[in-house]
Amino acid sequence: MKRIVVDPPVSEARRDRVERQLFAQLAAVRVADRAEAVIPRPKRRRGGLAFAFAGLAAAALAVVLVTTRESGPVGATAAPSRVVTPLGGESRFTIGREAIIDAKSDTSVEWQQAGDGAITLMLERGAVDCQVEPRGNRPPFRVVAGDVMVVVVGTRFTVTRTPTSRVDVAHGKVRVEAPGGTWMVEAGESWTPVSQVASAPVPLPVPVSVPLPLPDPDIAMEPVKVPRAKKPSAVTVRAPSAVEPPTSRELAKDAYRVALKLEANEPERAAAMYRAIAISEKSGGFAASALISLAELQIYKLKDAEGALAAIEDHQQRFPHAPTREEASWLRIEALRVMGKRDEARGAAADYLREFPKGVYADRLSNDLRK
Amino acid sequence: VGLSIVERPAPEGDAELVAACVAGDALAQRALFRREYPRVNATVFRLVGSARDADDLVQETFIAVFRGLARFRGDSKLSTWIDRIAVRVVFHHIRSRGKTPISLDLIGDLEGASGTTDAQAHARDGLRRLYAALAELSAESRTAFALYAIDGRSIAEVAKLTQTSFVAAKCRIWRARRELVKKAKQDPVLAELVKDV
Repeated sequence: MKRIVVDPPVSEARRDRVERQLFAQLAAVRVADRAEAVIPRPKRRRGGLAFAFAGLAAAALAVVLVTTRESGPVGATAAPSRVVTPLGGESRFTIGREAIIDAKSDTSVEWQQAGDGAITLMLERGAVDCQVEPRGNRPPFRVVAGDVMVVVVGTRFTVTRTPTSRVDVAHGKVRVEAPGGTWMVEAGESWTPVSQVASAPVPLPVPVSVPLPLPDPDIAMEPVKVPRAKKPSAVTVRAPSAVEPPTSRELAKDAYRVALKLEANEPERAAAMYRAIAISEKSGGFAASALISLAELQIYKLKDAEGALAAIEDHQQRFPHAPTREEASWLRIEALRVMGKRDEARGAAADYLREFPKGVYADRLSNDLRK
Repeated sequence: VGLSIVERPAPEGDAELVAACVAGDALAQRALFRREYPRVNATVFRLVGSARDADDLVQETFIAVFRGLARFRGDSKLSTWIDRIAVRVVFHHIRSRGKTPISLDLIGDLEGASGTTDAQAHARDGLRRLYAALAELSAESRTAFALYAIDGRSIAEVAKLTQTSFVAAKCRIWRARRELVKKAKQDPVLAELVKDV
């Protein structure tokens, strides 16, 4: 029998990073243990080990929070902190005086506070129950779950990301932003994406101001009022009032970050998000970058060279002087080559060489053209 | 006044090291981590095929190790006990991810690969295909096969680490191998990797 040789990464920097993070967490455990000894706790509902893990996660977060707040310069974005709870475990943590977050069983959530005070929770899996101070003049508070973004207006709500995203609002009001539109969800209401299979009796949502091209029916989002567990009456479908799609740079940045994460496992959703960013951000670097990322995704992963070409042409028309224009020219050649349009690809390559004679792809293209 | 700082050596034997760790000796804990990290890191990486995931899972493993060390009774070797925790952590990770196809960037961050750029690219491509094929197997079969064929464990060790019987471990490895060979019929690069396994 022969072994398949897979050499693990062995860098000391990697080991040191893991070691640093591990011992920071273990130090936090000791703090949590001491706190547990002096602070009366509510009756435990779960097993001891699970609770210990939950405490560990919460305490680790507290330590990171203190560290980042003390060491970070004023106005700078703090390093992200993460809370992970095991199956059966729960964890409560606070973000300053802004929010109390309950991470439910089997949840992984990362949060970060930007220099302007804006707080973003990235829900990777599981569910979080958030009690957030009304925002008013306070900085924004958002929860991102896959391609769904919940922006707090002032409320208590739950966001679940397993298996699909769901938002339940207990008090106040939140804005849910997802591919397909933006919805206001109020106290007592829930929002969930509905797959095409289940949508037969469901009326279409109120059209949003910017229609988004959605390549996959599974990612079509429809707002639905889901009955509460205590009121198992008929499901009522609701088409909440549509509001403007995100336009600020901050929202586009968050959405871009989410799309990048989605690329690996959910390329169609990532593509839909890139389209949404490109449409909603009329100007600015994120729209240009989103179009480039969309084209790359379409050429190399989604095998949709025609779609990529459309994105590139959009980029070239809207952002003729963007720093990404060289990349756009290169992707145009790639898209044409994949489509089998040899002559057009050669023409595009010649255009590239004229515009970027010392570009990163220049040597390669010169060689190709000589052949 | 002369002042000298003498570094106290960490205990070397398993029993002393465990006792010191349980007593909260930070030096001993770091010594245990540094002693066990290379093996745990290698096993975890070979099971998941992703450096990014491996870092998180190694960390999760050691947290579980230090939290549970007080319950370590010495029935097995400390390294086996730690490996069992690592395998359990990875198994839950794989199962929670479901049969998601592997991301193309996962194997791209392999370090220390030797040979020419072409050879490296070929090796990376092969591993991507291997882990993509493994991602389609059940968590049980994938874990057992990776431990056996990639991490080089014996069937008995696989059984011990996955807490199953020898026969069950063998069946899982055999089942995984059968699936991979089936896929390799349409994939020459994968076939090259699994032909003698």
